[in-house]
Amino acid sequence: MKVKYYCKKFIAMLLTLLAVSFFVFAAFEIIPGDPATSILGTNATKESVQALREEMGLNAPFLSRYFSWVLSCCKGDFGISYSYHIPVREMIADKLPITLTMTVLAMLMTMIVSVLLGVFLAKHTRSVWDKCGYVVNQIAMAIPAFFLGILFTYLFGLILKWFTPGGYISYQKNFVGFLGYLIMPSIAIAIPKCAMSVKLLRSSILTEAGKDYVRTAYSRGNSTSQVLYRHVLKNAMIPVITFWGMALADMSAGSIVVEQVFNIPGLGRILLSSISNRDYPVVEAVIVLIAFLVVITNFLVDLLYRKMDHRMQDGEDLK
Amino acid sequence: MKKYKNFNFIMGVILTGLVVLIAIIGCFYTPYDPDAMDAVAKNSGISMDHWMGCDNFGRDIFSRIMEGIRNTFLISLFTVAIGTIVGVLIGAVTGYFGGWLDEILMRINDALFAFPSVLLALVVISLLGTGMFRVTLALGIAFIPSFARIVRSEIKKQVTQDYVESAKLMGAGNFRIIFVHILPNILPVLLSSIMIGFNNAVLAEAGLSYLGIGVQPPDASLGRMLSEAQSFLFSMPWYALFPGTVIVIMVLGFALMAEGITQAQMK
Amino acid sequence: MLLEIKQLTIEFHDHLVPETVVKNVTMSMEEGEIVGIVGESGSGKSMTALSVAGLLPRKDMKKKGEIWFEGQELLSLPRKELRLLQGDEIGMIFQEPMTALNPTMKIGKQVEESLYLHRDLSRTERRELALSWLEKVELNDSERVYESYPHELSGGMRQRVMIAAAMVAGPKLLIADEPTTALDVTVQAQIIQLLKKINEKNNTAILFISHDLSLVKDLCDRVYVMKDGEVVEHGKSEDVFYHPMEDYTKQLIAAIPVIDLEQD
Repeated sequence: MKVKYYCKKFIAMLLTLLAVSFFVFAAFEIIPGDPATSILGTNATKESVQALREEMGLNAPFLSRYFSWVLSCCKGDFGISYSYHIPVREMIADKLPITLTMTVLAMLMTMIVSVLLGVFLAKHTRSVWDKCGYVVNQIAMAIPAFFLGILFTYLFGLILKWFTPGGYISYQKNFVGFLGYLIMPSIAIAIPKCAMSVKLLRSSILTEAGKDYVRTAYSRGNSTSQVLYRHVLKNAMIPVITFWGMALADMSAGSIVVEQVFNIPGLGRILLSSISNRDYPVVEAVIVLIAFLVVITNFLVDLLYRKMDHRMQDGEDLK
Repeated sequence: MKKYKNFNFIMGVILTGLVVLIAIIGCFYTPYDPDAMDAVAKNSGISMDHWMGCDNFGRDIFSRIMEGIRNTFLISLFTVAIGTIVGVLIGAVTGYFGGWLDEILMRINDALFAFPSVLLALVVISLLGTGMFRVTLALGIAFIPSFARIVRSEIKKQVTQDYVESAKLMGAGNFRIIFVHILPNILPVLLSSIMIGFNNAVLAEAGLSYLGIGVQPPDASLGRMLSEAQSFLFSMPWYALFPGTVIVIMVLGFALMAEGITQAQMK
Repeated sequence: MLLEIKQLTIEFHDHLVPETVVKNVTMSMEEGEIVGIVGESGSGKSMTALSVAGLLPRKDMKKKGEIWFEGQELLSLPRKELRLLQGDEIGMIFQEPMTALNPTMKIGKQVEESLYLHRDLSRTERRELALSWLEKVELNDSERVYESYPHELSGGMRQRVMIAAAMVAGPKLLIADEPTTALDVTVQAQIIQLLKKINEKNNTAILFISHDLSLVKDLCDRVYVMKDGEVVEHGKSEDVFYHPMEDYTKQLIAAIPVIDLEQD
């Protein structure tokens, strides 16, 4: 039964990916302009443009071009950049780890901090802590990550001199230094999502605490903290995990902007420069790649979700 | 009926009212021409003449912020309008009728929904190009899936209710049922998602303009000001602080209002 | 004497005017006895039971009187010491078996939780005890029940699980707060039989709360009838059922549906 469900989910995931890639591919087909001309320049002769078109397979019908593009994407071949004339794959291969590391760092921070804070606030409802936490939370949710980045640059970079703004350290040269430089941007990405997550967890814990099974747990002699950690927390985490899945997607997009603040040469910079250069193969590749990551995460979150909430499982009943 | 008399809502209304007021005034009057450059006042600090100082071109920051608020406000407003109208149409039709059309549209919608809306807007912008009008369109399109999703699930809940059945029995047409009978019932949910959507639009616009692919100069935009201010962060930090804070206030205002509405509904 | 409640009064203070939900209730239980408390909803019967189990929230609530359990006065007992009794000496089962179990915890873990909290046993010892109790409450296939989650069981099965969980540490007193109300009639009768059997085999005293006098008559040795927070009548359950003294008790008896359970 389980296997069947996972297969179904997996196929749905593949279909989603296919749909997204189709949209992206079709969208860039509609826009006017001929890739061959843009590569060769407007001065090129008609013959040479025609020859290049033939070579690039642009004369084939739309659908067959789409499928050959998908197939080569699966092999890791995303075509050749219009503006740099090198394979797109080479352009993004060493940038992907940067963006990925940053997003994962931010996600880890969000997860750890929000569970600690959410539990703390739920434990101290209606205290001064709770009220302060509420105000700080509301403001933190309203600050855009890139503005936080700018504030951090000023406060920790220029005033306190904890790091050199713009002094990105390549991970190939110094991995520890690289991680160190990514900490500030990751915090900037994490804070707004963390605030939302804290708020959600707090209210979720309070909702769960009013349920019948909590009284049962007390009747067995559990202390308040035993009730919280043995019983309530796991149930309260279920909606939070769903939120984390969506937050991760948002963070990957947010990291594109924050990369600019901290001058980090990740996927975001490539995406931006290729958008302004109308370098479509690169744009397509980056978008499809991010979509791939988003869909994979959703799939994983779904698995985790089902591991926690057994009511979702279509297992055999004993009834 | 007791109106939303809670602290969140009141605070939200005050903050939003302030922003809206500045946006409206900004349409007719700014202390200086936001684009006028004054060579003497270049990089000048906070003074009686220039409340928030001047930027590196000698433009009055306060006037530019007023214009920026207006632009951001209008863009977000139209973005949400596009998202809501198209989203409600798609959501209503699919949620009400169901069937294969619903299946297909929702599959597509799910695929798009899984995708961060800023990224979706980026795709559309790379197709359409930059500028205020195109950014609005791009964001509007990017926001359709989330609205359609909310409206669809709300309508699905309502369709099984008795009042829909009785409206059908009385011979009301499908579209009359959707828009006259059902829609008012999902309005509260729609309203708070419109406010959250507005916030997302403000944040997305600011982000895009900060990246340089949103509002283009000479139009002022809060996001763009932030990216310009970043080069002068050390010498005049207030240049970044003011537009950033304005964004926070805008977002906070709507978030508090949305929260107030949700709280009132739960009572 | 196992349990002695003396002059118990409970007041709620969350409204402007304090509301008295239990007034001067005095009752007692011998070891191994089954005692019923009958009354309508709002009669204070559940409040009395919950206060014996130490489950009434302590804020905005005033409790007067004494509850003596095995030489300890429960109302003045510090929370820490009260916890030592809960689940160990006093077990409790509730009205709603559907929601009274933790949805994300395996049945086995929930059944053996009292052992985990009160006994120094190894994992396998706990498991064996839990399995034996699942069998004692007549759940076939105890291994599978042990490994399953609440949503996979029916209401009746869940209530059996609740009983197993309450009994696993061998308490002297089992408090059953309307344990059969949410179940259908046949299951109801089975649960009553089960409680009787447990009482006979383990000599566990049962405080049985119900609004249904006919159930109480079948199960209990003695019964207290409560109305508006006060005990209006008590005595042997047969006597109370067949020769009620109070009008209120007569009304309760009259309200019982005419279907005679003993026919089947």
